[in-house]
Amino acid sequence: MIDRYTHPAWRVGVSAFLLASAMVAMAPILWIVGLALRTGADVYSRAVIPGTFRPENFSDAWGQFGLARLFLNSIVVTGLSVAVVVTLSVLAAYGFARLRFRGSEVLFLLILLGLMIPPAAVIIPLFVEIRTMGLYDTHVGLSLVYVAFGLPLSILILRSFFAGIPRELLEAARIDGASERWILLGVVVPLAKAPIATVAILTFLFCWNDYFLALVLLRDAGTYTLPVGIAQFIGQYSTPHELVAAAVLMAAVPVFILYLVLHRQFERGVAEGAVKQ
Amino acid sequence: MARRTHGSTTRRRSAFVMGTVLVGTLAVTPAANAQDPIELEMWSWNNEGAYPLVHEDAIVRFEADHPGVTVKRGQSNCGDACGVIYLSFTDYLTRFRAAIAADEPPCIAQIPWAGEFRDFVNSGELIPLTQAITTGFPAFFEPIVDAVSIGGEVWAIPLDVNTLQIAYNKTRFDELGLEVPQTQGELQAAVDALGEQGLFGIAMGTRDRWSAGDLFFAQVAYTDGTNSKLAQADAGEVGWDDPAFAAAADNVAAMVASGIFAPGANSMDAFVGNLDLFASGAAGMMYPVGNFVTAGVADKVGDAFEWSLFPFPKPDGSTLDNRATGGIAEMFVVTADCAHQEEAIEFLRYLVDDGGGAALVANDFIPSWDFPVPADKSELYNNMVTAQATANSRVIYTTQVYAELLNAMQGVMDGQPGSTVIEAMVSAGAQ
Amino acid sequence: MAAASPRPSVTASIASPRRSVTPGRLGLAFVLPSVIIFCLFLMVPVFAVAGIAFLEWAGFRIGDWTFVGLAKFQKAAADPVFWRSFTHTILFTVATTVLLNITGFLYALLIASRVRGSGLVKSVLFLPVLLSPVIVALMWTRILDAFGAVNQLISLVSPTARPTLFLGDPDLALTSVIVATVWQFTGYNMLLYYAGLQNLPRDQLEAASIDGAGARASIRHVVVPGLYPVIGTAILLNVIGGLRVFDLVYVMTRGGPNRSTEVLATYMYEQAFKFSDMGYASAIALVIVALSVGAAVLRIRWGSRLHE
Repeated sequence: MIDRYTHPAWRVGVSAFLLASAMVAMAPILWIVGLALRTGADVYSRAVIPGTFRPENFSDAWGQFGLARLFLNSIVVTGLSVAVVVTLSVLAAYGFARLRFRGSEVLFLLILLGLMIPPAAVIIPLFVEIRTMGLYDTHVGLSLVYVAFGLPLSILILRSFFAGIPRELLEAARIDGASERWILLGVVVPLAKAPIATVAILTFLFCWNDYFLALVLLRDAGTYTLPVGIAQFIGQYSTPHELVAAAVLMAAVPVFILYLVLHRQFERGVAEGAVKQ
Repeated sequence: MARRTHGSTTRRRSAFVMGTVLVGTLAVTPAANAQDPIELEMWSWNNEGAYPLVHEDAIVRFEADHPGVTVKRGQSNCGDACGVIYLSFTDYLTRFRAAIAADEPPCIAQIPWAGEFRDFVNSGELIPLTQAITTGFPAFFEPIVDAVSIGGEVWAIPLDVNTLQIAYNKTRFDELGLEVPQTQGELQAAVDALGEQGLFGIAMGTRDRWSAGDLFFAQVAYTDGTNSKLAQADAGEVGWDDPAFAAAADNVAAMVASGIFAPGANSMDAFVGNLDLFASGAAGMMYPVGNFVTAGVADKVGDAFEWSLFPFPKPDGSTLDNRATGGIAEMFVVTADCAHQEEAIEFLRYLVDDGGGAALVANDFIPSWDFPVPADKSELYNNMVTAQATANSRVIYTTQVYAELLNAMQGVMDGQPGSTVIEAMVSAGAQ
Repeated sequence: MAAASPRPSVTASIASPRRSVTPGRLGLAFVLPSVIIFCLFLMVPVFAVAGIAFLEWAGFRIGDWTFVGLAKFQKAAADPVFWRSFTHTILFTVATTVLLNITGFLYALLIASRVRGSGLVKSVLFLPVLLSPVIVALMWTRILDAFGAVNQLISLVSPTARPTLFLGDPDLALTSVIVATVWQFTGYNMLLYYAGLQNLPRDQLEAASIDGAGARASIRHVVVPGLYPVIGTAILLNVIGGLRVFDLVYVMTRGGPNRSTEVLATYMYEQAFKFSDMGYASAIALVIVALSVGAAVLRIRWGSRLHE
């Protein structure tokens, strides 16, 4: 698009620069992979390339940290939260974008306020509330909090997408006699696959990676999610760094897979949703 | 000292009403409840080293003697080292506080020996153990009992004690013809001799902060010959700007300026970077080392060289004997919301009875009461037991002051003057 | 569960004879479940925080508190550590926002040129966004320490150099945390800008190149103005993220050494969970929220000015 980009030497230069950047971006991750494959004695060696190779760290971490249980808990909490956020935010965003009512703008601004609230800022009253409702140390309680934190950005993204759908498309469906429910499910949702994928991924990331809320709102080891469960093995005087590294890498696998599967949708979703105002 | 709060009175009242209703309708007596199986929950953060073995040992003996009472396990596939429930050290108090606020605290909890202990006592969340400790518990060392006493009551059961000393590379010291330093002047000379070989003096990791505080306490052991100023300052009887404290902070600042410590202390964890420096031979000494980490040092050093421990030497001109600093390592409290306080206390007895003492010693821990040392224990272990006998306290109970001491000591490690420490403590003490 | 409870009313209103429900009513029904959960688990706690900021409360028992008026705000105003945390938060926010927008825009432009490998690079640069900040912090702690990867590289160039103590040096620690943040989130900004570039009207770009405008001129006169909405969104997201930064600082430095990386969120956490001063912690939390809301208001104003 810009003419100098077409110059071959320029293109080679850009290519080289981009690849170098990609290597810088990957280096820390690769370094962690290296750490996860070292023996315990080799963890603090100064060599960049590990002198030892111990893939058993992965099976050891899986067994010792009880990762199967942690994975199950994380999947339950994250799955529940993502499903609820997607459902509710599609409804709400459609309502805000297409079925305006008195006060809907004010409500929307109120929900946007949620973007500004860091979890750490409200943890104390949130904890009291969750406990009063009898939801302390339950996955449902944690999920409800994740949903509350996940809704604002999701509604923002979906609402701007829904607002951009041509009016004629919806009118045509209405004239054909479709109910609003059918318009939403049959017309709007299929159009919104990409922004919905974006919302799902962003919510997934938030829930899957959260440490702080789960730390305070869960009590028993049997309910821990992955980040909290793995952190229990960081000791006061010593930490099995190679096992922790192996565990965090395994914990990140579902995220990478999800991104690999959905990344085209996700990138399009960012383009169609987050960017339009 | 302990005051129950408004909220808990209400809860008690409603519990009473509920209880009356239950008794009235179901005719259930408390005695009948006692026959139900009881599960005790105990929290600790020391999931590392040999502590789980010690805990496990007590659980097995306790459960054998008390059918119907079990101690909850945190892990399943851990063989004979399952122990109790372990939570990560960094966020332990956050979780403990949350569990207390939810009225679901564990019956028994490990608690830090510093200021938070007093905060929890003052909040009324723990029960006094003064009565309990008179039956079935050993005679704990007197300074240790003092350390767990607040307002005339005992609030925690101390399990073991530790000492903080300097580890030194004996092989290297012998090569250079260096003796164990008896004064800070001799320490300086040793560091200079190491420096000529391109080696660092004392490796320290103060990223975790607490180790920087211990450097300060090591000086207070000499600048306050009475070993009581810290307690007096906590009680508001002397100021945090007491000359003993000022001299201690200045001492550390002077040592930093004269290159006693390996550079970069603030960028190293207490036993990661500095242990690496020491074990690789790049630094001739390392601080602070006690029985909580000797196994790690031995592992890492291996056969590379011989090493041993000596107390942080006194300032030149001090007439006092050299002494280590130390205090309680693990200590446990019983919570006010615990439904089975009697059983909880009974379990604590098993942690510190003869069997418990034997388990501690077998794993190189030092019991917090007088316990015979078997003849086969190592020279290092005997060294630590000896040092423990004369060790000085290292506790500040005023949470803010302790926190600001640690922050300011990081500054001193980075070249700030000792006066910054005093200013920080005074200002925190005023809050 | 959460989704199920409000559902009957929604289905009922849809199932009833067509057009008998006004679109506005239906809209309200659609919005309501979200609003309820949001208010219950976010707005109620926010208002509670606003209330707790006026209390002396150790946080153990509800009701065990005393009203102290503005005392906690006065405490903040007189507390040098609060002001240091405040300054660090602003520094961190401004630095990460500026850097992330420069790197994000630069990489978006370069990738939009569709040179060989740009698709792959786009995905790789995004990978760090997927990681938990806790993991990122642990990674960078090891990478930046005296024997870490960066010092290994430095020693390759100058073997005699003493290791640079990034996280142990009060002058470098905050910068190091900023670098780690930029590393993690460049990919996100890049994607935003890339999406914005794809949405630019092609005819304008072509018109500019037919006019013979050089690359620099067309970036300045066509690309940047076309990206104003994206720039606004990106800056707002970065600013909000910066003001509330917690995990990364908490794990990498714990606010140290000697409070040189203390930010508002970590200081708040310390007050709440170490010093049991829930009132003071809530006052600090309110400052964070107020700063974020202020940023959002500025953004909305700026946005409406552009549309005029």
